[in-house]
Amino acid sequence: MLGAERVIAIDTVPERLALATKSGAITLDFMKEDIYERIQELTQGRGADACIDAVGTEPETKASVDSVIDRIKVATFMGTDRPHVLRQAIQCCRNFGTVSIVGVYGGMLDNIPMGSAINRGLTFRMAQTPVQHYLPKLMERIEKGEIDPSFVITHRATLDEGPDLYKTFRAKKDGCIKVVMKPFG
Amino acid sequence: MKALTWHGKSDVRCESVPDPKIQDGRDAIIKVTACAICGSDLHLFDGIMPTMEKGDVLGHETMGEVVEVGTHNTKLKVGDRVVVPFTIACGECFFCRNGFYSGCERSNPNAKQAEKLWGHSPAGLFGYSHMLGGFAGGQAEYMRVPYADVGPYRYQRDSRMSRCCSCQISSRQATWRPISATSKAERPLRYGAADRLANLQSRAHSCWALSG
Repeated sequence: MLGAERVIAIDTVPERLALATKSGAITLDFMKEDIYERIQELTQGRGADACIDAVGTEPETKASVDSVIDRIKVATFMGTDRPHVLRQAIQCCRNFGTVSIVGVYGGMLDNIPMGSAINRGLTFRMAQTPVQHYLPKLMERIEKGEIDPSFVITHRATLDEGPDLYKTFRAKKDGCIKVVMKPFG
Repeated sequence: MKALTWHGKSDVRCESVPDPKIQDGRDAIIKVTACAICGSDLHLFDGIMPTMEKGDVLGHETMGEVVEVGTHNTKLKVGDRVVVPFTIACGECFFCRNGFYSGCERSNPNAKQAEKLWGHSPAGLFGYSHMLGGFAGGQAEYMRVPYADVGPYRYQRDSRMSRCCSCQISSRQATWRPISATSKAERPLRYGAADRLANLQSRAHSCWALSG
């Protein structure tokens, strides 16, 4: 909508991959494919213009060796975060590209390939969103019908159902992508 | 009122808590019409966020109807429908004036705690630990909104917004390209255009990012 020519969505949850495909993205399954190699192929070896880490500190441990090591470090109080996706985003980004971090990290991150980032001129963008800045413009687009984010909602519920839905959402059961609760129905 | 409360790792309960009250003239109380569970809430559910306390009311993706306004709040009136940003901002400090609302230096009453860990404190957030203000969140029947003359976005009762309850998702995912230009005139909504979104690195939030 704002000029992205191609979007590559990386996930392993089938219903999310399906939703991404339906939305026009090329999808990659990180449990089945080598993400770096596939992005190299898709970008003629140049790397992606911009990479978004929308995962943050709790990636799938089974997806990579470094994630297993991170898990052990966190469990033994030798580390605070598990930044596999950030490492991957840096490695997959083209020279002078942008790495944007939406996923949340809390503490001290280990083994970030800063050598790669510095020598190749990457730009890092990150924040808790300054929502007040963007909200009016996003709302305008929703009001005009240009964006309809409601397509991500899979579960509508009451507050009473909330505790169970936390479990469902975490376990990615029942096709759960997004829960919206209406306290008064 | 009824609310979802945090009691530890994998322990969220729906229980009765005291109704929120106006504490400052700029506050508003909203009756929550819709609230969502965010992927970031799972970090709390997994027990990895420090300074959470038993009984904390969760939720930072909230919309509702204004039912009470403080005496100094001239922007909102009872009956207004609003979407509430998860970042709390005063609108007046150095960072707010420059558009960096999530860096508000006045909205986190527990800034000292955050400074110990991060050097400086960001803005206070709804339902996201005491280090970030200890504000009760919106997975509840009612929520108190501090600085409610700055954050909440009003929409018409019969508009598309009223049918679309997950707008906060869009605002959350817009993080990846926050304010970059130097003047207000040069700050268009650019969470994708300039660098051409080429790669969505995702597991937990992929579909949200796509909605942009």
